[in-house]
Amino acid sequence: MFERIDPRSPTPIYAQIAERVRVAVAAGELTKGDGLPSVRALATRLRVNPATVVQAYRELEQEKLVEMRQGAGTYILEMPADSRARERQAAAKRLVRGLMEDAARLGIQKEDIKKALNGELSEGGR
Amino acid sequence: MFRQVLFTQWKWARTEMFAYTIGAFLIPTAILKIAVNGLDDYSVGSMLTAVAAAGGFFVFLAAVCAIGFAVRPYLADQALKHVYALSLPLPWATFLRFRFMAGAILLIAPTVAVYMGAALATMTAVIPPTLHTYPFGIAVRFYLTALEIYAATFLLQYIAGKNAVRVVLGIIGVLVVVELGGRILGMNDAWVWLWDHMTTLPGPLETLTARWMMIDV
Amino acid sequence: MSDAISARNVAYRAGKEFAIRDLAMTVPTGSVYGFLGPNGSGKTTTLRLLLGMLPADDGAITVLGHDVPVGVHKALAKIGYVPERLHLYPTLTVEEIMRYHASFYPDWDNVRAENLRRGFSLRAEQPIERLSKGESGKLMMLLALAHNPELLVLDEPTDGLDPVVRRDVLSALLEYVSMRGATVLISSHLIHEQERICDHVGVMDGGRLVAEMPMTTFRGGIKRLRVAKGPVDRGDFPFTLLSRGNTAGREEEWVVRGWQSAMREYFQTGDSELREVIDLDLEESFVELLRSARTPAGIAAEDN
Repeated sequence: MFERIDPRSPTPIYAQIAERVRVAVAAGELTKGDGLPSVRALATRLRVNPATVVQAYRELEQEKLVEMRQGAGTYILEMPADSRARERQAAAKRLVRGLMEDAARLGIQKEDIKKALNGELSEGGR
Repeated sequence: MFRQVLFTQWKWARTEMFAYTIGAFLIPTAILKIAVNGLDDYSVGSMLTAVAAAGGFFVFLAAVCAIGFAVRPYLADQALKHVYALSLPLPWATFLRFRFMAGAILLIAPTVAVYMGAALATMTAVIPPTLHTYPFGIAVRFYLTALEIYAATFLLQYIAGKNAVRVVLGIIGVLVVVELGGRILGMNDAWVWLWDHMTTLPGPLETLTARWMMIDV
Repeated sequence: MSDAISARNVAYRAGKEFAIRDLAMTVPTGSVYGFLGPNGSGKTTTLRLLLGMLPADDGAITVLGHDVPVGVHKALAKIGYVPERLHLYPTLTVEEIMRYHASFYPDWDNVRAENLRRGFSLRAEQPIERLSKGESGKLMMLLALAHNPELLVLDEPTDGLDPVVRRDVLSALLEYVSMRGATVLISSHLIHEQERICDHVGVMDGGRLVAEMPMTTFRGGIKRLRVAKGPVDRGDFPFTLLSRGNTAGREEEWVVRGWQSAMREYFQTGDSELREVIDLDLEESFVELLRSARTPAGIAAEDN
């Protein structure tokens, strides 16, 4: 889940970590009561500053996604079904926003995007 | 802390110390035997001459031990540019004190061997009745001489460091100046005068040139 | 909480030239401070000055509340140091150097030391001169961590190590930092490694500390701009222009410092156009910063 965190990316490392957790929860890979790796374990494994991991977990805690229990670790909170769906929608929005930023940079028009999207959706059908 | 410094210095000097100790134990007997065998008569005078011949060995051994025990740990630190010693949480002066004390303690081993070696030598020699043996005296003199040379070497290397060679050359230069100055002042034997002063008590070099007598009056 | 390391006005002369001058450095307690700089910029010399191994010619240095060099040996009891080159006696074994080292540090933790030794696969009876480069690196890190230090000063601790060993050494370091909350001052030219673990940055160049700030400010502050028909410099740029060059056609590439997104408005006057704002990674930020620190006007020639 935490593979290939990219320190060179403009997204700060803590944001990348938090995003991975959000996506995992939205996809149902992590459910209520599951424990996240300890700050120490994750910082060591990813070879990043432990304060970075703490920042990621705190952000998730503020979103009521996880609970940091003093001395016991960090655990996923109960997520009602509709909020999981909301998470998925939020993730989808983030994906599309990224796509549109890339497109804008390359000067691709909205019409071309729509055409390509429809083409892929009908073709792929996953 | 000090125990570990002593241990490491001992470990580095282990081999030489073994050689010195064995040598200090056996060689006096051998020298004395050889010297005595070369005598025609067993008079007091000849015996004393023979013993004086063995004496040179002790000075040599004292110098070798002293310089060895002083230089080896210094070179070990120097090879590492003293970084390790400087990074340890104790004042530099304390560290030097530990190094010095460790070497001074290590010198006890060859000293004990000298005592035993001199005792052995004098026991196996045939001694005229008017003479006495002084193995303990020899051992004490050995330790003090070794300590003196050790201290001088120790100070020289830490004060002068890489300049130690230059300091030695400087001393030679001073001697040259003394000789020339003496000649200018009409003293033809300035060196001799200096030498006499250094080698008779309380000069520092007295112990190196005096006679080391295991057996004496 | 006062800073772990504080240096003001430090100068050091090696021979006729000043190797270090006007050095002012602050390492906040609990931070992981990355010390960057090209080879020969004086990083190793600075670290040695901070730890009292070299006598400064001028300035004031305080480490863990103690003056350097007067009281530095008291601070050293709580500092773990890994130098650039192996500094241990070659004829001693791993076990012997651990015992030697332990005797100087009252807070030595034998259990942690043994765990690290086993974790690093170091054989107790192996003489140090027979250790590989990777094993020596691990041994030095072990000795630095085992006595529960408050501050770690590391000079190129992973340089020349293969990726597996590098990972082991960094993991041990980060595990310790997570557990203990120690301050770390790590000098390294492996910028991508620094980027992961450091939250503060100090950049050294030519014997001076040319920049010092939190990592986010350093990385976030320097941007590359793709500009078409760039405006003339009337001296009123809201950002600091580090360099400006022609890329293709009418397009220019500007490198700026102190950028904020509201500054887009600046390009909306006249017929200039800001096409893109590009983030630089630490290495690129570092290179641009050095380049600007070295050119007097801070602006590179047009035909760069």
